[in-house]
Amino acid sequence: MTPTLRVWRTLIRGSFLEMVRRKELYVLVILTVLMVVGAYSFTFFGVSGLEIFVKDMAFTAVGLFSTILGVTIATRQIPEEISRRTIYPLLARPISRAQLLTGKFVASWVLTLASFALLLGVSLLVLTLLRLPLKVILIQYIWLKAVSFLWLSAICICLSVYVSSSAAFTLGLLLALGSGAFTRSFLLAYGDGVPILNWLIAILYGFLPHFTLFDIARKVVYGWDPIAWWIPLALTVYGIAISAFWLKLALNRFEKMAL
Amino acid sequence: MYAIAVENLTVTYPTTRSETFRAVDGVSFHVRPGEIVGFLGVNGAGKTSTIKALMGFQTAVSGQATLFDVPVQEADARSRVGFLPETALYSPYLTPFETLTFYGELHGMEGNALKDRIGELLIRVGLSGKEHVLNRTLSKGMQQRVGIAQALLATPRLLILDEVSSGLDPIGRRDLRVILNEERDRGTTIFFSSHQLSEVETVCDRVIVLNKGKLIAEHRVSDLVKQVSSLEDYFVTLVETGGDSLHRTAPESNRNNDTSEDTRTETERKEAVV
Repeated sequence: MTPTLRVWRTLIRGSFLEMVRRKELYVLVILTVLMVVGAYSFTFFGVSGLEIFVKDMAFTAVGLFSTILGVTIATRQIPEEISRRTIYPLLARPISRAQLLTGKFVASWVLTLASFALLLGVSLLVLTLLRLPLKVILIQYIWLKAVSFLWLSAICICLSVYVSSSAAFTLGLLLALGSGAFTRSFLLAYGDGVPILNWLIAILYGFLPHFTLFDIARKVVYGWDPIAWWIPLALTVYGIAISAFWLKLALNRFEKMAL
Repeated sequence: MYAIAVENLTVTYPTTRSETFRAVDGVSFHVRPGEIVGFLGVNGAGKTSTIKALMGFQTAVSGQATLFDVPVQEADARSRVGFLPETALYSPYLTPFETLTFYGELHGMEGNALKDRIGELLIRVGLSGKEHVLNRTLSKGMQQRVGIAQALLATPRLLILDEVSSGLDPIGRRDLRVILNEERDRGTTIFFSSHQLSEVETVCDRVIVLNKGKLIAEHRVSDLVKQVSSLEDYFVTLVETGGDSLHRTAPESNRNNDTSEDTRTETERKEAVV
């Protein structure tokens, strides 16, 4: 195992233990089950044809809670080490700041993915018990979510080295949950102004996170057939490239940061 | 080869957009392998800033520092160093055993060798029986013991300890002295800052005193104790007057004449010439 992989593995393990003992995940798992079962309980009151509603509720809970957890996990990785002053014994090891930052990023991504897997697993279990089957497109949904979490972790880690932990959390959450609204506003503004303004809008549009592109939960809920495979592939390349950009931005700041 | 070599080190912090504060101002000193050096100064004297620059946490605006001849900017410079920061709060969600495993693995240690080393260190720092309780249930002094254990984990050749006795009770300070003496016997170089002058007097070979970012005195402890009534009185006078009266009064014979090799520091050599 290379030194960098060893650093990553250790940071993932440490962060995983912390996440499990913080108990935030358990609360969200219970909340997810309550939401799905709560939605299904409407059938007891004689409301029929609620399959779509129950599935929608399950995927909304999974998407929302895993995003919140993802932002929380990523934005606290570096600031918490600094506020506890444990960044010093960490960097007192023969590891570079780049190894630490990338390790924290990988740990955030893996933990977000693990939380997502747990929330989805519980939801699927409940849906199966309620005899509400899903189609193969579910695989593409999981794949694209994994890529979007890569991007989300990179943005949040980047924000956390530029602004305070709480500001990074707020901004991260705004970008993660409001990206659809922001990008739509940009599209509306495009084309009406002078050409140079359009260029500016196009550039800003490119840098804004487009998490909605990676979310095909509705298609899963409505039982669509799988989308063409080149689309998730292209989105994966796009997601990796843009995550690398945000990570490089974070590294530029972190390497010069006085601790 | 020096364990620590600092040449004309200057560290600044921005106070406003256009102004900076010189926390460390052109400081130079050397620490030889095997020496125990106390780094003294009042609060805000620049000790922690110097130590941060030594560990590569803070970039110096001028000058340079090396650890075993490796520039501090390189990660490899820290491969033989154990570091204890001033009052760190180790993860409240991990146990001392997990905390030490975490730092050990980051240092490249693994398996039974790491487990055995952790077990041995937990006994040595007085944390046996507490290895599997969460850090958040430990007192400040016990957390400091976890810190001391993590600094010793990779059997370092150089220990850099910032405010090492902070939070320790008298028993803890006695245990710490035992550990420092054991490390000295093992040949480890120790460089530590402390406000506990009695501890410095007992443990150190040499003291370096910083005031307002500048190095104002550098003496062998054996020389000092012959000339001053107490290290505390000497230190207080030194800081209040801003000058070192012993520069002129310290007899040459007291300095470094116990070894065939010239182990004197730059400052001492200059004094000898004067």
